[in-house]
Amino acid sequence: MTARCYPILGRGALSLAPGAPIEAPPGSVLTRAGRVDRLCALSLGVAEAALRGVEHRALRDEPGAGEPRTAVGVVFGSAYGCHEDDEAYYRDLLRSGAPPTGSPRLFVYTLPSSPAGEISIHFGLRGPALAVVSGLTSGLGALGQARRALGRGRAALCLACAAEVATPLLGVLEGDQVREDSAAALLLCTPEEGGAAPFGLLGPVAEAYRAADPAAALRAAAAQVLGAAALAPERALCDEATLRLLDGGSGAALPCPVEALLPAGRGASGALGALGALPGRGLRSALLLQADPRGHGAAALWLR
Amino acid sequence: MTAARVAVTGLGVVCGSGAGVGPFWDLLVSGGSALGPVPGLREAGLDLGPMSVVPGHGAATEAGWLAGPEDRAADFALRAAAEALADAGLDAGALPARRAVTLGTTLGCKAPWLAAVRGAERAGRGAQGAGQRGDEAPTRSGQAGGAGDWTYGGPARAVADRLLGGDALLEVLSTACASGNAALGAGLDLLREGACDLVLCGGVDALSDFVIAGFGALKAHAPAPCRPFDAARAGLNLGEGAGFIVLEPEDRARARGARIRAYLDGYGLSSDANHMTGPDREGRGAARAMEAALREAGAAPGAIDFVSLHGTATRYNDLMESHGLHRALGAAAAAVPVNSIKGAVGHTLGAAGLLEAIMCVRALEEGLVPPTAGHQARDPAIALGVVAGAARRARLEAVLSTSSGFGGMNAAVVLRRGRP
Repeated sequence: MTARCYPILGRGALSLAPGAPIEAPPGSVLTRAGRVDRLCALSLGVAEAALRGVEHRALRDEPGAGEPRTAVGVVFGSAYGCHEDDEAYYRDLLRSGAPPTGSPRLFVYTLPSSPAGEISIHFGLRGPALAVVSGLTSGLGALGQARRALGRGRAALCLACAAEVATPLLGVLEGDQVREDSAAALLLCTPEEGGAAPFGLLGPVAEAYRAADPAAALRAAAAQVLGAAALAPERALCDEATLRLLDGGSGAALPCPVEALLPAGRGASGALGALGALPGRGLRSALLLQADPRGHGAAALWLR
Repeated sequence: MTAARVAVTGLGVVCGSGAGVGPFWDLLVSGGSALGPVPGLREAGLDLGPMSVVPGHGAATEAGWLAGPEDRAADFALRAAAEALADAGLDAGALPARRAVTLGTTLGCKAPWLAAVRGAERAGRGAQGAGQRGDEAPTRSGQAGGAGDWTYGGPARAVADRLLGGDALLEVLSTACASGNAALGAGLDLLREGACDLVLCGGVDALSDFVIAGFGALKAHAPAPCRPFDAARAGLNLGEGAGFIVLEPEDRARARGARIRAYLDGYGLSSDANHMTGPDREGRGAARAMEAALREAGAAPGAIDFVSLHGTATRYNDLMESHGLHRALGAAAAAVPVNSIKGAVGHTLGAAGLLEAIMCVRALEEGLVPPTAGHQARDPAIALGVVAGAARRARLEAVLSTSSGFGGMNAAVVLRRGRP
């Protein structure tokens, strides 16, 4: 079986110091998005970047052609999702006591699927929409779900997006996993419609879980991806924490060198953002690895 | 290559009817309801109408389940998943090497995180207050067990650790109140792709002060037992619980002698792209999810014998679903029997899609459509064949189950009757 390559037509990435203002260019969706929460604002910003300038039949609004953009999907991924909103809403509730007087608008943003909803609404994307919230592997998980939506014919284009918001409480509890407010998005299309896209996602995105053994999970996920693609990548890329789990690379059992080139401190969005930046690194192919210390591993193969 | 059909071989339920598929089905068929006043909520200032809570967790007090440290979602998930595996005749020694857990949740996996926020708040500090109380003391990530898991994946990992030997593929998904159907769809996809040989598909949500107050802020609670599709409907009642279904490729299930309880044949997802809390009034998004599920299942609109609707009993949801079903099924929509189980077990959020799918499997097996508890007089604007009053006998071959949620997310599945 030959693995299919899903071209990446657009990408966006953003990382900011916690709470730093998000710059909205003139005409940006962020200038008219209203009072969305920070997680959604970050997601909207990178989604807009990934969609900007893309010409594809699925994005055209043609009069009389029925509902537009029904073949464009959105998959959002996050490890910690709405934790900032959860904390704000819950602290307000604990302080105000009964009866509940909390903000209904804020409560809506305590649903981890809310960024997928906001992206769908603001860009009129009416295809499949969902959120992946499996942990730190959720960015690659979102990529896998996007590929699945394309592969099963449920969408002709699919936006994979991931975002995290750093909070002081998360910093106490999770250390360095999320040090920045960050988001990344990639716009994938079906193999048949990629045109001259410079790079793409080859083969499946694989995830695995091995209780208390994330290195084993990573190896299992990588083996699935490499087996399906039947290609030895030039390099395996991961973040520093993942490299430590792989015992500095010596425990990786991979057919290529492993390097910690992915940015740390961006939670589930790190791998997705790094994948979008790979064309600038001069690599023709790379295996991306993302681990969650709770026992999750995920892998995806990028091809130029 | 033609993939084997995906068979449903096990069911498990924990909800307001108690633990077990038997009590759940009996409650539904009887037209009864697990909705009622919840002891402790008045004192907590959260008496916002009838709800349906899982029995056995005591009163809704701050020290009890209302705001306690226990991860009740994980408890519900474990119990329902264990029942589903046993129902499928699968013990630890009989599990295939490649297995998965797909879990849908709306809000239900936040208990450890909320406990940490409480700890910080009660200590009167910011982040540094976390961990000041013994029973809520957070630990850093990477430690075994749920205490250090601040993500949404705790219940899925608990199921994988305790029931699948800590070795599985995990997918935790959220599409607001359509999350259960999304988990079913993910399970279907994994099996069709050949990524695994068994999937435990679940949906879970647990009530808490956070959830109850949130829906109170949205003014979504009905002051009395809810009345889906009724002219006098006035909102929803919250429920909680978990539902799990075991999915396997039919050929593998048959090879081990498992009972094929039903087939999961189609799945569809869509977005309204309309509003964060209000559905597309014309039901266009819901219709697209239904149409996609029918397409995947190879089912013509006229071949659907029963529809399990989301039926929350909110004014706009029920009307939207009527429009959506007419778009999807055309002339067949007015005659096909439909129901909602929200009047029986409440709106169980992430568990709803799974509980409804389990109801559908039992309906296919028994040839019986449970009535819509709480429904008395149909809204004239809702041109649907609402089953009410008593269960209805019917020859059921194919059923459609649909859910919708905040953010305009819709998910639908098609199930067919199992073959001996």
